[in-house]
Amino acid sequence: MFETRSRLARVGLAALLAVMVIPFVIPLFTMVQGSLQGRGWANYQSVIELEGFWLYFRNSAIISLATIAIVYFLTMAASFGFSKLRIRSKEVYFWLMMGALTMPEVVLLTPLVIMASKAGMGGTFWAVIIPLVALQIPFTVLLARSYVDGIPDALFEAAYLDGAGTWRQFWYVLVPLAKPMAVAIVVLVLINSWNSYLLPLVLLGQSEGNMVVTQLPNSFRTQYTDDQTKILAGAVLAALPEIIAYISLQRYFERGIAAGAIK
Amino acid sequence: MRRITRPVIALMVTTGMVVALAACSGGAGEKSTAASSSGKASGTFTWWGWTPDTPVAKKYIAEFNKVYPDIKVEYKNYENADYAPTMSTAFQTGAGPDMFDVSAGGNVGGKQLWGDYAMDLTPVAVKAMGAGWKDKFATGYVDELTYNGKVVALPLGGVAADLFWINKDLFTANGVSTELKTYDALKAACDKFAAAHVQCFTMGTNSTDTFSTELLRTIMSSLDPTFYMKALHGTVSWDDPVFVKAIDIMRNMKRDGIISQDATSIKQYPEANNNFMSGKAAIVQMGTWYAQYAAKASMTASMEGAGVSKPVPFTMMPIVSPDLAGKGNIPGYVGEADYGLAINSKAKNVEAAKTFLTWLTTTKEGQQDVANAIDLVPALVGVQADWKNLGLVSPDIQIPAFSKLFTDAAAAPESRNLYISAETGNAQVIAVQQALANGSVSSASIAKQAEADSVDMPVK
Amino acid sequence: MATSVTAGPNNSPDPHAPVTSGGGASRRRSHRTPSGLGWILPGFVVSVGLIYFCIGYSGYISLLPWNWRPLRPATIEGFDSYVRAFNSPLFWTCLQHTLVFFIVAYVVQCVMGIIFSAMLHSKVFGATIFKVIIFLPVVIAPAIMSPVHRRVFAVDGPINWILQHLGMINVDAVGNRVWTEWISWALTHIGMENVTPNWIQPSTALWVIIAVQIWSSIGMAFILFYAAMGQIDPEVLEAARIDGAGNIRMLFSVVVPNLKPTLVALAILNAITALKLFDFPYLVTAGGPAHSSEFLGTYIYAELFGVSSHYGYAATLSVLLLILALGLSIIMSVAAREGRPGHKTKGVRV
Repeated sequence: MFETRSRLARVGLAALLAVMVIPFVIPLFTMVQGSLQGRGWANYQSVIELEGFWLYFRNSAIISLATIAIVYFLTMAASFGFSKLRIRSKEVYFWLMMGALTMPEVVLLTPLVIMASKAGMGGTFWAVIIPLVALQIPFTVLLARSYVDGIPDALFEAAYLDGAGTWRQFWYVLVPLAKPMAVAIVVLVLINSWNSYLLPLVLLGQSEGNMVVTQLPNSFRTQYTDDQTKILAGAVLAALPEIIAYISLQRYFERGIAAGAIK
Repeated sequence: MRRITRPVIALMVTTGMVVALAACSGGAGEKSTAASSSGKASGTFTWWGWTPDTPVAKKYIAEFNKVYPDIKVEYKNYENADYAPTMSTAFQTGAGPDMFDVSAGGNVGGKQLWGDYAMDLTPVAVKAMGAGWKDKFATGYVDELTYNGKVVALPLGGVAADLFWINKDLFTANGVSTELKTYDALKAACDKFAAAHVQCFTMGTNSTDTFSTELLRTIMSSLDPTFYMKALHGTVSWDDPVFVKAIDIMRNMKRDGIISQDATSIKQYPEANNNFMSGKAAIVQMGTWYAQYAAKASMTASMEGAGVSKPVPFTMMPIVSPDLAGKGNIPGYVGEADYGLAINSKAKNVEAAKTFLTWLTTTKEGQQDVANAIDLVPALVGVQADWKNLGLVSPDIQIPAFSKLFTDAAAAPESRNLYISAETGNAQVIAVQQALANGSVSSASIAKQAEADSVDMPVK
Repeated sequence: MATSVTAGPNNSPDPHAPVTSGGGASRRRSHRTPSGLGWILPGFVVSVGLIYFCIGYSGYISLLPWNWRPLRPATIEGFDSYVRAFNSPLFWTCLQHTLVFFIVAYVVQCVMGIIFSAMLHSKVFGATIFKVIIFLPVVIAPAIMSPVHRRVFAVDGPINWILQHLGMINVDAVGNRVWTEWISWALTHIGMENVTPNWIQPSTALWVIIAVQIWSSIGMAFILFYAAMGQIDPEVLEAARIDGAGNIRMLFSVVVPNLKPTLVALAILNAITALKLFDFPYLVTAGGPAHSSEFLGTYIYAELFGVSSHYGYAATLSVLLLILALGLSIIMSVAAREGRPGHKTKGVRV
């Protein structure tokens, strides 16, 4: 974008950027530094030795994977339907969904609690997964629809001429072509479901073995002592999987967003 | 018409699928509790509370299991702020615990919040202690846990507040006298500490808990000992010169360097507590529960949690609040039942829960364990902590001071949270936050606002 | 999944079926395009169904007494709760905070997002590392980072440490931080003498939350701008260069106009976030001190589980929040319709 012909300009730009990203790094640095105070690496040991430590990660993983899988399928289906198929008053449905996009979680709490209890689901993972799915879908459909709009009809025509019915067109044409967008959706939903704090807090309760990773730091908050060092060590460990996942998928994520960004 | 039925069928099918998915619920749902067989109680039951800390509860349970090996107690500790949402949700979804904590008042475990879900424990108490059972508990504790005529919980222990704790080693090292009877004495002490780079009085106000408001209460009590309770009952308004003056005095404490700068941005727990435990500050206002950190083992753990790498336990001592208003009134302790144990009227394993509750609250052995944790004032009359064997840092000076504290605490004339409604508590928190922020809001308007936001609780 | 339900009238592929008269090829195709209703229904039912059900339920509860709690008798009282909300100064304070947050967060995200993406589209050393650093805050949960942010803005935290080494803060004997002379002078002159380096205080708590939220979301804005910039035809840029446009000129005249859809998308995202905001204000500053960083989300939460249990009032606030959100979606539909291409898709054939 900017002309950086000379080596000096490139280095200068890098230096400027380095200064500008300092604010991004400060909290991360503070987090690690704080987690090493007191007993140092022993704090991490204490966190890992916490009873049911792996369960936090297991529960978050289950919830996230289930959410991602369900959102993925429902989104692909819905974007296919909105973009390529015929629906009477299609836009009404679409804008009803977009309206749901603007709902904050906290508004849903009480009704969700009552509904979960009536359906006998209180304290189960589904009580968290279904609301998470419901909250993600409007946004993912929004993204996916414009992406699928960009897939030429001709491809579907060709499949039809080869004798493919609707389902096969979906599965063999749309799904493979939508891979970049799918990655973007997976990353976004992963972030939102893994980071979810309020919904699991209220709907999952806090019984042994039933908590998610965002509540890990809370385990070190007792009535009168917050063991700050271990809270931070727990925070670092809780954040690690996501950081690793993002760094690995970073390139594909960028491509997916780029592909869907032609709005 | 034909075109409409297909979408309708689709809708019904998909709704059906969603409901079916919901029905086959996965994940670690509720715990299975063994049903109690008739006869000797056995099995497992759940106990949830914001207190005691898990290690303390485990000690109680271990002692209990020596007598009742067949009963398994599953204790789950919740942070103060998380207790209410969790309990609220759990009770509504039918997933509540068998046994839970209830306190005399306040917005964490107040009986007005959870009393409806508890069963009446009068039969249990009568069975365990006979007809005159109420008098066997410290004065007033049972009444404080009675809601709408129902005894919702049996008291586990009591608490008293409006006292200060000091780091005696810091006082000695800096030549500061521990006789802090007046505002000026306190200020002089703080000046000496400042010269030695030690914070004087640490407190945290940036949260919804009411610890910080107890300083305001202490000041009001030194202005006029009857004011606070009258204001709680609505006999006088908070918008009163006494309250306004108390706010002014608190502001002076900040101006004079007694209260440190970070009071508005830190919480009592963890930051103010950490300041005291790490030796950064010399004085903190806590109640009788703080005594539990005076033992070597628990103090070491606290210090490590505060970030100290090689902790050396120090001597902490309680002192009576100074007469901050200078009117010759020494603020007394305020105390009541800290909390009791209640049993869910929909509990799954009632017998096991009753057995544990009876043992911990009504027997000398159970109460002795409670006393030895030095977190609570024992509820059962005649039980005293086994001071000599608790591993205190400096038993010679601490034992006399602590025994006196706990004896006086059990006889505290004024209740602590019993008559503080959630709204009033919150209004006081806001008042303290505004008072300590840099001053554009006048003390008078703070008092007015507090009166507007408070809800009085008449004497029952 | 939905296969069995897509029975459209023209499902059986029959290329030799008689063609209906009239129209061109597209008209013919649309007659035989199968119904997509079954495809969108699962997603629709789950999201719209669940959310609108919750809304309806909240609406019902909002008409009960304002201090209603479960287990109490439920008698419809009417709109008293709403009157209470409108008369509550805290309600308007929350709205004000939301608005301030939205404006500041949006502007900063756009400005810095564009600058960062422009810089990272140029040849620069370590581009990937910078991109990762910038986006990383988006990935980490607010619940996880909140204790860290409390430390960062603490009186003895890194921000003050930097300010101290920049000569703006002095540390006194007991560890209090005070402004140096010239800063005090400057602050007093703009009427901000109440601001001390104790950041979680009523005068600056809102700004702490805004800063924290920007930190955690600017990466998203950056990625969107970066992607959009990548779509700009390099030939256009070359042409502008040849015409003699300098870096800045090129940025404003050539690049930014192409970013309009992203700017709209970010406005929507930020507005939604502003209304929904809960995690950071609750966990970092507890809505305070003295309600100085209170948002609708934290207010509702406090009424449900915090200070006291007023389910009726909390439901009322939720409904009001909802009405605001609906207003937003109307604005959304206007803005998005202007920017959305692809009205012309013809659909698939079967």
